[in-house]
Amino acid sequence: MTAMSSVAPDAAALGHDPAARRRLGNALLVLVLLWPLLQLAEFRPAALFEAGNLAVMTGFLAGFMPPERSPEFLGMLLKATLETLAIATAGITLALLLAAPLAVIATRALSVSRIGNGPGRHRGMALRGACRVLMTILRAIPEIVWALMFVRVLGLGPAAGVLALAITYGGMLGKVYTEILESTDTRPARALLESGSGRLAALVYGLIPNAAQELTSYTVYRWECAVRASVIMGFVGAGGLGQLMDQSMKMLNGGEASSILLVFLLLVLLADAISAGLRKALA
Amino acid sequence: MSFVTHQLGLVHGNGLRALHGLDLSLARGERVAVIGPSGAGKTSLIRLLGCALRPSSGRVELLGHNPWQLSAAELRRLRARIGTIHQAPPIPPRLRVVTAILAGRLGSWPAWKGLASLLYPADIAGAQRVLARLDLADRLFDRCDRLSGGQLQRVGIARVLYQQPELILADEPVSALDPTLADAAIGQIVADAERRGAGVLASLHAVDLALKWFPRVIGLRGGEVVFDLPAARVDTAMLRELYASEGSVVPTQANDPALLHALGDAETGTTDDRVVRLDSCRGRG
Repeated sequence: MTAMSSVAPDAAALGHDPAARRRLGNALLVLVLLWPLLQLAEFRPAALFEAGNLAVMTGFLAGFMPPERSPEFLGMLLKATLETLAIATAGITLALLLAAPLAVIATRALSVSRIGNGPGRHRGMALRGACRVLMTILRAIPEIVWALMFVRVLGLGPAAGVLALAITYGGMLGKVYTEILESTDTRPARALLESGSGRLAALVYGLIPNAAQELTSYTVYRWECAVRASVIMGFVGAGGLGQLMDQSMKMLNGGEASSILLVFLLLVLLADAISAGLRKALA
Repeated sequence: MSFVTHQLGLVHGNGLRALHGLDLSLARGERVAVIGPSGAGKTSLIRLLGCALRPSSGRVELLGHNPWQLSAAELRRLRARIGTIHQAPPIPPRLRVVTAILAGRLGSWPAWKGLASLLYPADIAGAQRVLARLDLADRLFDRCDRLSGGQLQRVGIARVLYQQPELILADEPVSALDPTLADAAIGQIVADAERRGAGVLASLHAVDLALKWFPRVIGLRGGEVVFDLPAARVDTAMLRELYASEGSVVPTQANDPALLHALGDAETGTTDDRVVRLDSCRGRG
């Protein structure tokens, strides 16, 4: 049979894995490419363990002890935490509104025209390409740059941070949603499209039931990232934990900084719990 | 006509020729079974007739239309009139049975109705009726991952019965069912098609099922039609020849050659006489 004769019969007859040589070649290629990159990044892990450097690091970390616990500071910390949560949540919500339609347009899993090269395939391909380029642009520009731009328009405050998060994270969410929808089992959606259902119906009946868990955990993970990104937002006066962190670091107050870091740890744990809970609910 | 093909051919992306020069047609309301060894091109034929693949050569006309000359909207409407029963039901495991069945009408429902039906099932009674015919009525609100392979395959059949297509394409629709259930399920597909005057093309592994339920049988081998005859004129020698590549063993449900002889010249009664009461098979498959 034609299909079978295409896999090198002589190698198979000898009991060799015909793919082994290519696998070894690829592994060597990766190493050859990686080595100059490590050189370029001045990657010398041994430096970490030289006596002088160890002392410097210990000194730096000792400055963070003990964490600041005065009621006055804790009050400020609570207010800043709520602000940060508000910025991250508002930013992710806007990002979601931006990402969901982009992902639905860009994903190949919902392309009707790809089925048997139907009518409108060139237009569909162009539209998907345009969406991908748009999402690339949105996420290629770091949120801090968007924030600096919006600060000029909207003035100092959380609004600039929220918009900056919405745009960058909109691009990231859209890209990853697109790929999640393509890597789940796409046959149910394709079968629906093949029997004449619309894209939206194929999405909610065919793809979402399989992909809901992945989509949710990635979204919650991005919310967690948005909480951390608000540190950077603090530098442009977006308020919240970032601004507090900025002040503490400028005043070289290690105790305050470590209290703030403990709050970050708690928020990440919270995000984990939310994610686990939602995954369980969607299982 | 349900469909007409002219010199229909299909070459897969890897250069493998799946179908070659098929001239077939099916009248409205006619039923035909396609049999043949594995790799004969049965699934390819069904995908071509379901507008899921574009032919590499020749052309196909479905319900009076050439699908690949239609606009996107017209093609969508045509696809909604054709129902395909897949061998592996393409149903997400987390879907409930009722949702999986109602999805059959997504092609004819407006978008809002499909979305609203996720909040509250739009036609519980309709889904219940179809499911009852396949003896699964008590599983209406179960999740599909709670079903056995055979039960899921019957949900896949129920979805297409609920769709009420004018042409039913079935790709080994009862491969996961035991002989009694398989017979009953084919009987339900046939009864539904007869009632509505829909055409049926079914690929079947079990030759006895094909000869029992289908007035016409097409033998496919190596992507070409070996015979296309009324069931009564298909004889054992033809079947041995068709399955020559599989050691001339003609596959039947029970793998009992005697059964085949008995069925080969069985006269065809009315459908209702032959439909096995599904209640008698409860708890199986």
